[in-house]
Amino acid sequence: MRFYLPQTVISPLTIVRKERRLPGRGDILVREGDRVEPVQVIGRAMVPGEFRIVNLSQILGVPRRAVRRYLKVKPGQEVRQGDVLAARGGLVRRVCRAPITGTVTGIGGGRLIIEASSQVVEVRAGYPGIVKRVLPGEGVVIQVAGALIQCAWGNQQEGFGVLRLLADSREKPLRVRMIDASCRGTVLIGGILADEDALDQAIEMQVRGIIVGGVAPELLGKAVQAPFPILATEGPGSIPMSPRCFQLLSTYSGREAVLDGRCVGGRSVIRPEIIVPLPAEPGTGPLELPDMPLRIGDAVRITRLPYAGRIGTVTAFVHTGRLTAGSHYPVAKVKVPEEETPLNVPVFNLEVIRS
Amino acid sequence: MMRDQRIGSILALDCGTVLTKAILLDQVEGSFHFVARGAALTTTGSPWRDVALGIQHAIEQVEDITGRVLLDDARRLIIPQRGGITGVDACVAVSSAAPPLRVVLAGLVPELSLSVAQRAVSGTYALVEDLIVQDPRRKMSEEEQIRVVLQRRPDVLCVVGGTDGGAVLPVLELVETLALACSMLPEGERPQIFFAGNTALRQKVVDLVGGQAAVRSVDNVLPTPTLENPVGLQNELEGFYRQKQLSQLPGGEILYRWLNVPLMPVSESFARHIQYLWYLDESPKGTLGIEVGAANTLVTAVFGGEPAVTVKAGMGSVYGVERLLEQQGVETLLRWMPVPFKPEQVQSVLHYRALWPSSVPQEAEELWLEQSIVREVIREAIRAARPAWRPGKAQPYSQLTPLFDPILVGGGALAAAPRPGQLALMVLDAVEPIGISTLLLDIHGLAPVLGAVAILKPLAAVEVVDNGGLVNLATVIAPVGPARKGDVILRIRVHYEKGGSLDVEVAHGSLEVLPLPAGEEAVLELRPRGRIDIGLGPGRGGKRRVRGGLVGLIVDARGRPLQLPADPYARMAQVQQWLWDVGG
Repeated sequence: MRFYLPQTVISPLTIVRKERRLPGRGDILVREGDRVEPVQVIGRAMVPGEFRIVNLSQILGVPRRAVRRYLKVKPGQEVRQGDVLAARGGLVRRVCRAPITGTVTGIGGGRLIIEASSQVVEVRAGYPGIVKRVLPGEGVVIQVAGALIQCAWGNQQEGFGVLRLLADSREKPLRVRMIDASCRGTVLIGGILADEDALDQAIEMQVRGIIVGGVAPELLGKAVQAPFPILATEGPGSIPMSPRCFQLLSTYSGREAVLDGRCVGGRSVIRPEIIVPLPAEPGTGPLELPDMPLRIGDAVRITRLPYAGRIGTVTAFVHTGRLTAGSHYPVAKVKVPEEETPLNVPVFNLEVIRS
Repeated sequence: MMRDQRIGSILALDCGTVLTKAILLDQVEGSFHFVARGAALTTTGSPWRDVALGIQHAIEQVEDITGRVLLDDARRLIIPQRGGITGVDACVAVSSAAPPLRVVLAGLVPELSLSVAQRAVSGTYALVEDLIVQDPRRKMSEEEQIRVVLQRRPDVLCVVGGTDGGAVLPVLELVETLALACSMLPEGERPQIFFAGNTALRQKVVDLVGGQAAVRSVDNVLPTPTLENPVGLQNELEGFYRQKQLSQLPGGEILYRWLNVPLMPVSESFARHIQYLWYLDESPKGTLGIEVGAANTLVTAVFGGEPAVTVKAGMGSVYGVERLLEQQGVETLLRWMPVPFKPEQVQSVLHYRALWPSSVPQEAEELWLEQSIVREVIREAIRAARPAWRPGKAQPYSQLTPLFDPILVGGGALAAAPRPGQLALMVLDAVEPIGISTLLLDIHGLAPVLGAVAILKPLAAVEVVDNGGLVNLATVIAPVGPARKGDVILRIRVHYEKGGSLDVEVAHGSLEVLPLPAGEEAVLELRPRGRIDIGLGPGRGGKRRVRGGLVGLIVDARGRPLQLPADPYARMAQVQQWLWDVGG
């Protein structure tokens, strides 16, 4: 039977296109073909500020329809705090004043809206690369050449820094003693993040990020609060980094990497990603994920316990196998480097690795 | 549309949030049968953004199973059938893959019209994002009301308030504020307004909103203080969901061309099928259907032929569990575990499931956790559904579940239970039925599509059920009434149709399984003691013919509402004992 599975990318060199969008419509400051750096501002958007509603009808003590007669301002007019918006003469003079500085954006039903000045929000490129496409007023698509590792967990934060390999093996947890003042401003690479003190030390040393194989479940809450991106290549749990990821990241220790820890499940899956920008070689193109069923020989990552995070190769299919939990599912035999005999894994617990 | 008489084979597609299923129904000796089912990842989201891919993958699985060619070289469905094993005569599809509508409800009194509006929303794929209450007791300022609209940016603003001929000024003030809020949003992002309040104000509401947003007036959800009418608003929301979400599935153009009837929400098709099950014997009891999807849970209860549909949007066996935990705490899940499980492990498992929603538990502990999730999701969905139920005499005890027979359950997480006893126990723990009920299992995932099939060819939907499309899981007898643990509360004599009988004394607090295999029938002679009620009235016994099932005949005398021991270790031992009682 044909099974089409989720796919993930671990590639030493590919072309990645990343969309950077403004939070609202605004101005794009770069052009197609421009080379950009991560800190470079690519666009600015105006985000609406605070607003206030002034009930003129009530304050003036007049019917709603009569309010327009007493107005001293027009829609679109800028006002300063304390300016008179409307006034009514007579025995008792009544005056409505602007509660904030801003622009009159609407008048209706006896009420008036003042919106405070919009705030300017700048969006940075986030990646070093070429502006491939400008989405007018909305954002840009940046093309980056480099190594790409899609991960299994991220703490939703983004950042970049120079990779620094701290562990000499993919199983080794990050320890306090490994993280000293020289780590400041770097992205630490370790096997596992299971030590709370090590995380505290990394925060104190102001590192730029952490990449590990797995984050211990009890540290997930704290990792989400960290002021820098933390990415687990294999998933939550005390899981060592896969040999493939460890080898790739070790190779690039000393190079700058961009970490995108955003991680969304659901209808549209967004995977945390590590990109190590590299010079593009001739013929390098964007990685297309093929519409192809699982085949013998495919490289796969196991996505559920007890083998979560292990990477191997499919050697055979079993029509239906019985799991420890008692259920029966189609099973693939997966050869992983750590085990003599192939593991029996339900095909639904695999994702295909593309490189 | 192809003429009904000429349809001899049907491909039914169910595009769910996580999986897309393709189900082949075909005539065998002149009668429709379920033939095969394929399932593949739904591909509406990134990186694919093309629903057709997942559909084609699922159809390919049906091809692999049956050897039948359904797709041509360009991967288009072959319609009509050619010869014996190429193509199908017709295709229908249902979907829950589109994101639910995001709704903000605005009204005067939370306990009155707003609560009826909330019920209308829960009848379709929609999520209430926030409430705007124009109630002096709540003191929600105009700024706060506007801020809700600006921050939530809903698809729909439902405005209710005022019985017909009732409140005027507060409703108009509320509408004025909402119109101001809409005017502050960019034009393409303004919500659709449904006004379902005081009918006399319809024109004024349209005038007040002016051109700031599209307004449609629908029947007042509370025309008199005692008459609740959520149907009009529910229908409008469903229509809007079809128009805005369902007909906009990415890559859907290919699918829409294949269909003989328009794409239908799963909830509607499922409700039609449950309604059909009720009409099979027009029981004075209700019929209950529960479908636990990955992202939505459906509950349809039919009393007197009238379906009450509830969509617990955004809460299913995979997604929305975090929200449940935030509301009720992780202990809610852990109380159903027969083994110790750390709360932080729960987060870890939930993460894996969210990122790889089609993955399955390989270890027993994770299986127990997933089954705990299913229990709580069903309990939560039933809690949301109950206000819409009108059971009448089918509800002898207001605090307990009404009398239901049959109870149909389906959905990937349920159908995947390795043993039928585990599945039955999940349903008993979650639904807490009383009296005598037949539990039916939708093992092939037919119930979500049969309502749509029935529109195209009613006989096909009927025959597929008659020909074993639904599996009898068990017949359950759940006595209720005052008793002490260990007291004998019920005597049962089982007269097997094939001969022989069995006498059983049932003790309060026990959970027992009596043998009655699938396909066999028996007559039960039931004699409750004291005020114990088996659904026939306190102390009343009688004879009942029942059918067997995968589990057999379950006597659930654990009492209602179900009580779990407070001590964690005693609780785990109890849950483990119940699992053993039902066969593991």
